[in-house]
Amino acid sequence: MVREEKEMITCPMCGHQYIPKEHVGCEGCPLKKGCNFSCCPVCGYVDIDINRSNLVKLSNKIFNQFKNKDKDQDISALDPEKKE
Amino acid sequence: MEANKVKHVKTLTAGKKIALVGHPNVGKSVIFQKLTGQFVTISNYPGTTLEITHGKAHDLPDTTLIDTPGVIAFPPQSEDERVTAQLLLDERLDGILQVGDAKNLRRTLLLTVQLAEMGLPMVLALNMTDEAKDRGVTVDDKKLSGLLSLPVIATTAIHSEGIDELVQALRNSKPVDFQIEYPSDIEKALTQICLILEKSDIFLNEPHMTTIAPRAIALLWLSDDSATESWLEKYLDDETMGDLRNLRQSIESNYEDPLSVIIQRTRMNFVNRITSSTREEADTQGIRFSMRLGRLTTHPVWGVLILGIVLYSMYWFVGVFGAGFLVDLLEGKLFGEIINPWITERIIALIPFPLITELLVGPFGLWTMGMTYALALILPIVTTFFIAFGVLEDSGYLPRLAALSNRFFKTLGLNGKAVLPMVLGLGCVTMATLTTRILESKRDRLLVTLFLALAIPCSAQLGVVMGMLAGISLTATLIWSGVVFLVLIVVAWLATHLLPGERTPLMVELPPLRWPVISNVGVKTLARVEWYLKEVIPLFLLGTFIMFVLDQIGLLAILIRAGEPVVTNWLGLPPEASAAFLMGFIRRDFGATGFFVMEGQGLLNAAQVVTAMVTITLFVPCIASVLMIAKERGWWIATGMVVIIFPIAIFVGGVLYHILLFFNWGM
Repeated sequence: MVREEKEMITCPMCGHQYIPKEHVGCEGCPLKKGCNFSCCPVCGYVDIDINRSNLVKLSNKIFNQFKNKDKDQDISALDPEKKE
Repeated sequence: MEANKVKHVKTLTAGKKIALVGHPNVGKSVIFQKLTGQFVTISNYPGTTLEITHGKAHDLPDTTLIDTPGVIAFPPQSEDERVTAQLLLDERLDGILQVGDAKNLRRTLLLTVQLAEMGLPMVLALNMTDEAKDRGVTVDDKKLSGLLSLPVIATTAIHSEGIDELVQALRNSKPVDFQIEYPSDIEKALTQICLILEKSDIFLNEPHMTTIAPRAIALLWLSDDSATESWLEKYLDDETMGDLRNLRQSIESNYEDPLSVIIQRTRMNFVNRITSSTREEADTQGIRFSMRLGRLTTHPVWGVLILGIVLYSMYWFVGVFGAGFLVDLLEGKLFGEIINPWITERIIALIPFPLITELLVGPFGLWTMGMTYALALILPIVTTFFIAFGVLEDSGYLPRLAALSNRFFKTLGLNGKAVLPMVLGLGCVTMATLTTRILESKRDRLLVTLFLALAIPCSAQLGVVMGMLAGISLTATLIWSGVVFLVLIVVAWLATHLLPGERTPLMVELPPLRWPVISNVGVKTLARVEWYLKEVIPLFLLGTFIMFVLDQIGLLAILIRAGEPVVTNWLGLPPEASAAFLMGFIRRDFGATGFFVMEGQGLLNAAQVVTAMVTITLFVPCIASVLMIAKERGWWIATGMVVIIFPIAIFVGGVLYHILLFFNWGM
């Protein structure tokens, strides 16, 4: 099993680290459709699941684009061929 | 209490079964894969939907490994734990491989002790040692091994570190000679239960029905474990079961707390001692300060003082900065002077039907009321609240708040575990209602659901309330919090005396206190803002539409007039406040925003604002919460709660108003 670090949630209540999609404890919840929360399997703390947020995905995309742009500029500044 | 030798002996031999046991997400499956390779069998455990994975260990000849569902502790509470407990009793195991988290040594060892008591050959794989090292945590695995009388192997399974040593340890593992000494009367009962069990078919017949030690079964029995009870009922006759029940009852009467708590407390004391002698944390100045501050946050005096500072900081950030400065900027300037006049002008020019323009940009317009309330009034307030809440979460303060409030709840006779949903309710009452599932008794679940519905304001409501009260004075905030707190105490006291029951202690691991990471707080705030907007905008629009329809058909005026005896005469509020209360039925923060607008228009004085805020805080929970209560507790209880909560809110609000009137405060 390969665990992706970014999918891991650290519970703010008990410090337990877990992958939200592995815990389907919310199956009985009437509001589960479109729910952005996940439930800690150790203490039951309900935390927002950032992996399900479109706003977070969008902000990451924008941030990464800026980061890559800066990186490209740095590379082209160092590479004489690209400079031409 | 020393670890003593036990008689129960079983040697791990080839062609046997080893169970992998451990907390959820400690790397059990990774270790399972490293030991078994690709060829595994997955099957549902009988009577459940849980999958159990079996695999042949490639370096342990004729040995099958069984990957069990994650377990927190015994007696089991969840289906996962029940399956693991059942498997340990039924499977005739020849060994246990516990996978533990080196970062959370105390919690790991609490389970180790329980497993070691089973007397089977056992190895403890202390996994995630790399992450522990990154946090400055080192564990003396050799010393730990000596104290527990079982092999302890440090592993980082994901990088295959320690796997060879683990295989070697499994090959050479011996039955565990380990036993904790419990209070003398429990020890006597354990001896008697063991005698009964050893004379029964479970241990007389060859092969034995189980391979775990009678003492471990006796401990599970005394802890009132339902899985063990059903298992014993299969093999013992009624008379023997009766003897066992009598033994348990006689010992239970010696203690105020349940036996499971006494047993677990004894284990915890043992675990605390060995943890402190085997675990070391890098002694840097930062960590020392964080540990000292961490201890102070749960201190009965300093802890309350720190809580006061935390709440005061939140009051300034959310109330003064969010609700004052940001709302003024967004609602007053951006929406009030630029966006709303522009949209109103365009819509009136484009749409020739007055009813439609009224629906969109009138006093109860979908844009001018619904969207403006959501985006210009509540959004800045809840965003600042979410930032503040994120800081508390990321700093590790929340579990300390739970530990601190536990003292208070304890004096009220409430279950320690009740603290978690109550603290969580400050984020979202609906979600916190779902969390009441962690409470063991029906009584506790019912009580905590009632407290949540009645007196715990959710983040959005708390933000609006803080914002409005900050605009008046700190005294106003203190009056509001004092009254809500008093109501909670009275209701909790009444409820615990009317519905007495057993207390179970709060056991919460306190992660280290640390500086919050800005990116973590930022990302969580973004996710929460998205969730909030998705949830409130449709409800705000629906609420606005209902108000618009009521206004158009003339029912709103009738309702306002009908509400006057209560709203004006009893609560001392202007008649228009009825509209805000009607909005409060949709969501309490929607109603609170209605009062926010009234205050901005100069319709409420300080006493009226405090009265309105107390009443709306204690008001019926939002539609989502009612749905959740109905789902969790049934429609009768949900309806009953609404019926109880509504008059309490009006009664308390009115009493407060008349007291303020008597003292001529804020008039």
